[in-house]
Amino acid sequence: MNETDLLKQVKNGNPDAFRFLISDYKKLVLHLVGRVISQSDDIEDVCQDVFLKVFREIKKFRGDSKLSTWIATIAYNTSISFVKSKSRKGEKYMEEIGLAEKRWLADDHVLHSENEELQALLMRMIEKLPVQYRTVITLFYLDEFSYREIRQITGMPEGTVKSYLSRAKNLLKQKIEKLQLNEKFYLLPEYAGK
Amino acid sequence: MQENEFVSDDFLDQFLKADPGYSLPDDFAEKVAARAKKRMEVLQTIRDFLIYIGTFLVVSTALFGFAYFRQLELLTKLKSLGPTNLAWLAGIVVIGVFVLFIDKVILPCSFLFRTLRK
Repeated sequence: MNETDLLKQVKNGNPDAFRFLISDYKKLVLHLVGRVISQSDDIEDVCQDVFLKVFREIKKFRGDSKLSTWIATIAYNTSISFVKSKSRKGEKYMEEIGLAEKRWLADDHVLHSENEELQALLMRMIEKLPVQYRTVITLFYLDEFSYREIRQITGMPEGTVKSYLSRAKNLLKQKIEKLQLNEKFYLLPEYAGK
Repeated sequence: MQENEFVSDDFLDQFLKADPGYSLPDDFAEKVAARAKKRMEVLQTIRDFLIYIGTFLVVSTALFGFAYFRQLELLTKLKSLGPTNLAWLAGIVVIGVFVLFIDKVILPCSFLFRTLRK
């Protein structure tokens, strides 16, 4: 079944077609929700909410953008609302980006990782980045959206998206450098730069 | 910003593209599709009830309107019933609507929610 037929079936309320649609876009939603909320206990619930919203709103989808962009927009908005509601309940999810950056760089908890695998350590570093950075990194690298599509999904101007991507990469590099200076781990020669 | 000397861009890009390892249960799609189906059924049930009520209101308003403008005997008979009997009649109608509501909305919805929770 191609995407147009699938969409038609879902719009007609066919639950089997909707199951196929979920299977097709599960990964995209999971990546985005997982990275934005960073709370494993809530990831499944938020993903469910996203797909139920998709089902409810699918009749409004006119095909002006790709279906993946439209679903990612719903996933992003749902995750951000979740994060904001948690913040209101006193949990520190969202904060001003400059402060979040400083806190991230100063947080040395991620450095206590002598026996941890590099991959897992770097994943943890990403999860502690400010939410805006985690979002653009995930959309750009994992889900391979273009700058224009990321603008459509998040509502951030393209310049901001580019700047966040570059800031996030530089922050990660700084942290890795700090790790190396602390001799907590060593990068294999093939990973090292100039 | 100063270019970092230790970490290559290729390495970082390769790592940023790596799967973060989040997972959902295998039956996730089935579960969500089932929930969506139940929601649809609940909405349909409520819609059906509103159609019943709407039809009842339209038909009764039309009948009373017709009787009022045509000065039919029915209206005179209704007036002659007196306020107490009219209150009884209104009570019966309200109970009828309530029973319809229980039968067409509450019972099907509670059944759906129970199966949804299982």
